[in-house]
Amino acid sequence: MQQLNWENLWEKIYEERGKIEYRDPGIEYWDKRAEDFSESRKTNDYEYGREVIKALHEIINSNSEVLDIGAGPGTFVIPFAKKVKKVTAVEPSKGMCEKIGKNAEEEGVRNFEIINKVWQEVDISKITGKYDLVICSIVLWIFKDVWEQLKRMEQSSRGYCCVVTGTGDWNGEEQKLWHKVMGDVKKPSYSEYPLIYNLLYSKGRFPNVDIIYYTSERSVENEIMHKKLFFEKYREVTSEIEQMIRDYVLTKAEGEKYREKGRAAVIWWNVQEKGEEIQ
Amino acid sequence: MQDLVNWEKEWEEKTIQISKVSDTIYWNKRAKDYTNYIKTSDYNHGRKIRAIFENANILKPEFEVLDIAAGPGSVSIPFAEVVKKVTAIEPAKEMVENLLGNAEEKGIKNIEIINKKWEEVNDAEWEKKFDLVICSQASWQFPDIGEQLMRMNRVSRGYCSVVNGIKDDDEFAKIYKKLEINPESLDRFIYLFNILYQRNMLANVRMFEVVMRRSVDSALSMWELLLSKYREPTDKDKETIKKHVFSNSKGGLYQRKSKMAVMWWKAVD
Repeated sequence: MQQLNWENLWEKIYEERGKIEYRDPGIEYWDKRAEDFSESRKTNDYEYGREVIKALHEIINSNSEVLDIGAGPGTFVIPFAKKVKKVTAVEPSKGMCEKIGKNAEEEGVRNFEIINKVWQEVDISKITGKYDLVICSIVLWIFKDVWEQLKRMEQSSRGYCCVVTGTGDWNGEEQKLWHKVMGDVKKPSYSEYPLIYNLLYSKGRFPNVDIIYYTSERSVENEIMHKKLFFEKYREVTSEIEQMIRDYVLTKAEGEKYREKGRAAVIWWNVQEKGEEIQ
Repeated sequence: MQDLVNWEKEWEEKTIQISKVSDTIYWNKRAKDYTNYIKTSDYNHGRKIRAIFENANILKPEFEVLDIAAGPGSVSIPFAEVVKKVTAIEPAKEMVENLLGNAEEKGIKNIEIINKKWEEVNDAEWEKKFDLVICSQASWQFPDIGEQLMRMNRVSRGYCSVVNGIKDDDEFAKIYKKLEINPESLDRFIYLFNILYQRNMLANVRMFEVVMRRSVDSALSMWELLLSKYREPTDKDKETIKKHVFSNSKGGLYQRKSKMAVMWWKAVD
């Protein structure tokens, strides 16, 4: 196994996902997702973000400056800003940026700034060693050259890096709807774990992990919208398909709300501590 | 994706060999030098493991802890200081003697010792008996590691934990080379990590630094016994070992820093 090349494996999974894609909606996809995603991340007063903070309690404090890559609707910006000195959010989607502003205002949070850019376009030479913590949440799957992007995260940190990754479809529920809509097509993998951990370890890093659990809540209409947008990446969503999604969501909904249990891995490491690379 | 590697099979193949030479007879001989290491280091790694659990807020005074392959009490002693009871499983009689002595020295009375191999324990009788089941620096004994992790899981009503060192440092590689031996090079930590994932026991991980401190005599004895797994040490071998130990010692103490990882997970049904 020591010879296994995790970078190549990552690229392969990335490419396989691309092969079955019907269309690439680009950044606009996230503009459209801002509404449902924001609702989901705000569940139980930003429970997801707060669970991540709990895992990182030993490495952040009121003096910390944090860089948040792919900040979404403020998933981390809001809860982190209350605990640290400042959060800088990198977020390419205008729709998401507006949500961050709105959610921050709602919570009276002011100690943040937004860089409305794609992470790959951020000039690292200007932010080298600038942050105590560089974090990203369920974002890495977007990058084909994941090791390159992780190294850029490390470059901009003077302390720690953290990636929060999904741990796959752990209750099997998502599979059911996928096959209803897509037939025999194999569900593409978005799972970043434990591959990212193996990659970091093989590169001589010493990463820590906390497995966290959280709840994600959306209104029935937001959940239908979320699933519709997702499937539009893989096929044309006809009215028949939309009905399928609606029926699925309604059978799982409790009244007006659709709730899901989530599980994620919080992985963090000290960027100064490096051992030898394996291979 | 991670299914591309059969972690358990690779582990088994590489472990069968080492578990043959590192048997109970070997550990009876190692009891003295190993105890010197643990005591001279003031239970360094056991204390750090305890601190990690305390920090994660999972250790409670009413806990009953099972320590698998307890040795001279590296983990049992620091834990017994803060929990209700520790049950220590240890097959080597000499190690048991040292554990008894160490506990007495510290005035610790809440350790029960079971002089058996973990594999010989009837896990059905112990179903959900412990709040924390811990196996530190001992997983190399089990070729069927997946099965043993499941048995640990079975006897826990709270948490399970495995602790392992990470990659040998350069200093060790150098002396192995000089002695022309090639000890097992399995990086057990990453195997345990992936096996736990594949068995659907997702573990938390903390990396920490430990300092091994032992007397020069204890270091000489350790290296000679380690070499005797491969061949009877010659006079030339003894000279090589002496050189290495003295050049790495200060004030009569042989010191070495290394990294370890503690992994823990909530017992699953």
